[in-house]
Amino acid sequence: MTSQPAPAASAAGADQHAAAETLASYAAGTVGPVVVWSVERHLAGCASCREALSAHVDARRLARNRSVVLVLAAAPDGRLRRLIRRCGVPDHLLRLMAATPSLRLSWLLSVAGVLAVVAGGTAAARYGWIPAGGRRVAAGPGDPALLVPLLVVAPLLVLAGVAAAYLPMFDPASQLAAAAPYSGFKLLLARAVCALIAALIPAVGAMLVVPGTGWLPAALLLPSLALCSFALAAATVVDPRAAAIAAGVLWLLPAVFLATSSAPLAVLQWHAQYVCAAVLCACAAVLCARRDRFELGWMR
Amino acid sequence: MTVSARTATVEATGLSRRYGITRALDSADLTLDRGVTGLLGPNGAGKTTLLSILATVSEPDAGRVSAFGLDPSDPAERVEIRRRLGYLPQELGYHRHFTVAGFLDYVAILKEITDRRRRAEEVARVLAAIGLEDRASSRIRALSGGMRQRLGIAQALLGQPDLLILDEPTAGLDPEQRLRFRELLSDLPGDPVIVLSTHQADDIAAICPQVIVLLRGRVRFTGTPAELAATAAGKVWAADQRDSSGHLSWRGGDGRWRHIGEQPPASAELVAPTVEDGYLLLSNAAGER
Amino acid sequence: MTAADGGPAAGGTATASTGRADSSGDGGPAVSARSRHDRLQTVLALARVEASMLLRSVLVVAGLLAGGFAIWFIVQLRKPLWWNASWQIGVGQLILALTVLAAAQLAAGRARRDGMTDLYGSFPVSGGARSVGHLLGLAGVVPASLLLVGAGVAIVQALGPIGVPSATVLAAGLLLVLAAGAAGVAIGTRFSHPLAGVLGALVLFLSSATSHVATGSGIWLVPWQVGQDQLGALPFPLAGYPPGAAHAMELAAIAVLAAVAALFLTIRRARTRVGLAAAAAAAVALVCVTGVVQASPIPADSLSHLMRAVAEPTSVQPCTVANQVRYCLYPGFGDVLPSLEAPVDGVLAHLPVRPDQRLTVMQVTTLSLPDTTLTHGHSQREIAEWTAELQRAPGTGAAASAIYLPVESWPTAGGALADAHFDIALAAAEWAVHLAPTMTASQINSSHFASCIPLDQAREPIAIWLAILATHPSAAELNAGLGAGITEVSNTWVAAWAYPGSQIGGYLSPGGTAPTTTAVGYLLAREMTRLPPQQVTRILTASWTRWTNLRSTDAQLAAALGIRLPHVSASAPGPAAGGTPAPGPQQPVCTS
Repeated sequence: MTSQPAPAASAAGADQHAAAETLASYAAGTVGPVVVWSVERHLAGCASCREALSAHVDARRLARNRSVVLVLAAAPDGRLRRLIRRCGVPDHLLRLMAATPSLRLSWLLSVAGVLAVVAGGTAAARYGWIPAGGRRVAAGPGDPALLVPLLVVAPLLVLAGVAAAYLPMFDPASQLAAAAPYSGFKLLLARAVCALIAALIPAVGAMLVVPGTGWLPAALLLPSLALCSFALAAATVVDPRAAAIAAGVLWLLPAVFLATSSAPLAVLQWHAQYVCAAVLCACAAVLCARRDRFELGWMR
Repeated sequence: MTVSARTATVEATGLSRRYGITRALDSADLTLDRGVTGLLGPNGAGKTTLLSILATVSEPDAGRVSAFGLDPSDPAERVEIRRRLGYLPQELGYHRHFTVAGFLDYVAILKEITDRRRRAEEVARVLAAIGLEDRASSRIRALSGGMRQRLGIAQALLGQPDLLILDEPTAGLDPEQRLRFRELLSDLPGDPVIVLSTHQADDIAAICPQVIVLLRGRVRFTGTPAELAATAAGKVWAADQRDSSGHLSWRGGDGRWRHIGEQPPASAELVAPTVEDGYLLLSNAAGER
Repeated sequence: MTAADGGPAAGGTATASTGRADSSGDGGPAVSARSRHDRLQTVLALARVEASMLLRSVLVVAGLLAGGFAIWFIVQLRKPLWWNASWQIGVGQLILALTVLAAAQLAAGRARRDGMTDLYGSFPVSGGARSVGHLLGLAGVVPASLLLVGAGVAIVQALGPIGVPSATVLAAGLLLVLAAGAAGVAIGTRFSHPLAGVLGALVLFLSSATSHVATGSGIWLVPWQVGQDQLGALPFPLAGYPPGAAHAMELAAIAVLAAVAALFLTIRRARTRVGLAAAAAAAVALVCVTGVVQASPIPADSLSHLMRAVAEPTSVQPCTVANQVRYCLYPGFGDVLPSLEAPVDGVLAHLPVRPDQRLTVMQVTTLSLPDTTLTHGHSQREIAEWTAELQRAPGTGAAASAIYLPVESWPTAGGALADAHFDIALAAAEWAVHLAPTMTASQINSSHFASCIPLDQAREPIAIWLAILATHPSAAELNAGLGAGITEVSNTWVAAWAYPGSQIGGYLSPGGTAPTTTAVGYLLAREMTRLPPQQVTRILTASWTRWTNLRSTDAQLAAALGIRLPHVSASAPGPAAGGTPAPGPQQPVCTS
């Protein structure tokens, strides 16, 4: 071969157009990858060929795809979903709520596992199967300090469930949800409520397993709600991840502090409940006032 | 431009590799000289597999590789090859919390550049070469996709490698950055062996004096882009009407058609072929329908 | 902590394939020598980078701060005893170790987590060399750990500790951090998911926090046991409780084991692997040996000596007499003496007439048996003997002319120390007015209360007055005890007064048995302090035996001093106001 200067890469310049059969084969997906590359490179710069392409797209194939999608979407629901739908929850909202990351089986199992370990240990100590305390002060089975791990962990698990419901790192479809026209705030609230219920039920159940807790399961409700509302309200101000971590730390520090002091159950006494109620109201107000922050690009 | 056995610095004979039942490479032979060689082929042709074998990252099931006279199947020589190697994998993740300069410094240590001053000079050199000097202290997660690609090229250039293997280096680069990339490749000190893979024929035509076409795991063509275009000689013709015997037809603004196909009609008006035409006909022959 | 030879020694095989090496033009041995030096330099440079990244990571800094805070929280409030405080500093090191484990796991798993394995595979530095680099990079947390040790020592020294710190135990804390880091590298080499490190830290934490589940000697085998012992109550360090040197060796062996595991995962060369396996076997053997040492019982004669020191403190305590008061403190606690003498001397200075019996201020401690951490490995007979001996310890029952001071809960400075001074002054004053703190056994059995109340007895305000003069507490603090509550005596409500330091049962031993002070008594004493002390002393001296008789009433004292008797209305709690209260637990009146 004679040494030519660099030959032309492609002849499909701006004034060339693809043949109709080429476009038809491309639309049907029957051309090889090299042709695909040539055609697509041309289509990127040629509006008339793009228009011509749409005429070749197989309407029947599209209809087939659509019917398949509809069949999948119309799959019969379980009993739980039917029940919830009968309560008046609209169908689309139900599906969005069902996609909450905190309702995944793996998440629920891990929450149940943590609670089982903590509650099991506490219950065993209560029944005297394992020695409790061990220090000179005989922290016997009746010692309220035994309940501290369970009391500290349970609201944190509820907080974790709610955080998982809105943090983008747990939700693979978060970008899609953010771009959808459905109100981001309503979706967030719906998912948070689902996560709250899904986390509170095992937490209360774990408390009931441990003997001698009395009114404590009910006393956990307000702190959990306060924690979650704080995390959500803080998410409107700072980074959502940081808000969730800050809420957890803000619960953990005083709880551990008080637990090592002389009054381990002070975390749940009346004044603490009042504080939690006040925090709940304040954060709910902040949340309502700043709910538009959830609509546009809040999850960076 | 002539290829002779004495200057051949990287040779591979009979390379085969399969993943499960898929045969990624099927007895591929190639010879790489100093200068830029382009590896052209569609996605799934085995380019990434071939390049990772050349980069001593994976091992072939069969076949031999010889780089600068060293055999990567021997551990000591493999390390010696790696000392002269710069590699940009296809889907490179990054340590997102590293800074640009910190990442390059880390890679330079891993390339056994132990002297701190020399390391700093190298990092500054490659940063200047790819044009990211002003972003030297920003975190990688703050970079755009194109900047990250340039960073990947930069880390491959550290240590002035004799063998530079770049897997889809122009992915994510806009035309102006591609131009700079071409200039960069032509300016490299030490005249290394450079092999880059792409699925776009215009990259080949612009920057690669040598091209290897890989289709379905086999090497189908080795030569210059002009020779690749010449393989389509006599198979590209122009006509006034649409001729259905061509594989691909383009209609010009003047109403005339340009056909590419195996069997042109006897009295067809032949036109000069392009690299893309040659590539298309090769892929057709290889069965890439 | 590093494997014997390290991974990157593949240069040695260059001479094996001489055919190939010749064709490359470089001499075989020269290549291997240069490459070995290069490799070493590379690994060191890598270690330097990893060390600086580890030190600057958020996790390690947070662990350092949390560990320092934990040490301060645990150590403060009480006079530190170095044989206990060394281990308390170790708790802070445990917290740092948890975060170091997580950080090291994140660093070691970085390549796989970020999808860089292909690129790393093309570098001349092998995976084994990188693991060695990560392990050597753990040296970056040594400054943080030493800083924590320094901060802990500073905190303890600032509180005036007893005893000397144990370098072995402090070094063991550092070894714990390094072992946790090595474990993190091992986990990260295999599992790159970030939660794997968190899980490892959780396992480490749980093993320490639930160490009390293991009975007896088993608690020493976990990486760090958290506060399940009676170290704070020992009057002097007991050898082998806990076994510090063996514990440190065990931690070092665990660190070696973790490092070997990390290297085993990344090094493929057979010869190196054999060496690693040998090192692992040696480490396991060391763990077993140290485990046996730690689990062996504490020598019986040391324990007997300890039990005797607890049961009969005077057998080991040097006693000094100052101002005709005998002070007996355990050896080493000498610097507590001035702070004891001050309130007692203050009371004696204003005391009109001294009683005949001599006051003894004695330091006691209470050990509780059975405690398998102390007595494991000893026979039941011996344990029963010791238990019986401990029943005779003076701290278990109060005495009329002795003040018992516990070893472990004496405060250090600030408000708590002032409260403790008042507590001692009040106890000395009660001795001076013949107000004994105990009830008879039958009284205790029939009463819900462990203390009696000197209701309407003149000696009570006199004792309070003496204590106030001796220690000069602030009026606000004294008045703060007025709302302490009410108690039922002989079917009437009586308002009580909480003297400073009584809230936690007092600073003296046994806790909670000092007589309950009444609000009337305090208010009367407050009025007395407004009179010139000499005048009050004169009036009291005139008929001292009458005033210290339990039948003298507050009203008589007030009349003698010319002050109005304060009136305190004690209203019943709850809706039923006034009238006679419903019968409830009755506090007995002091009769001695």
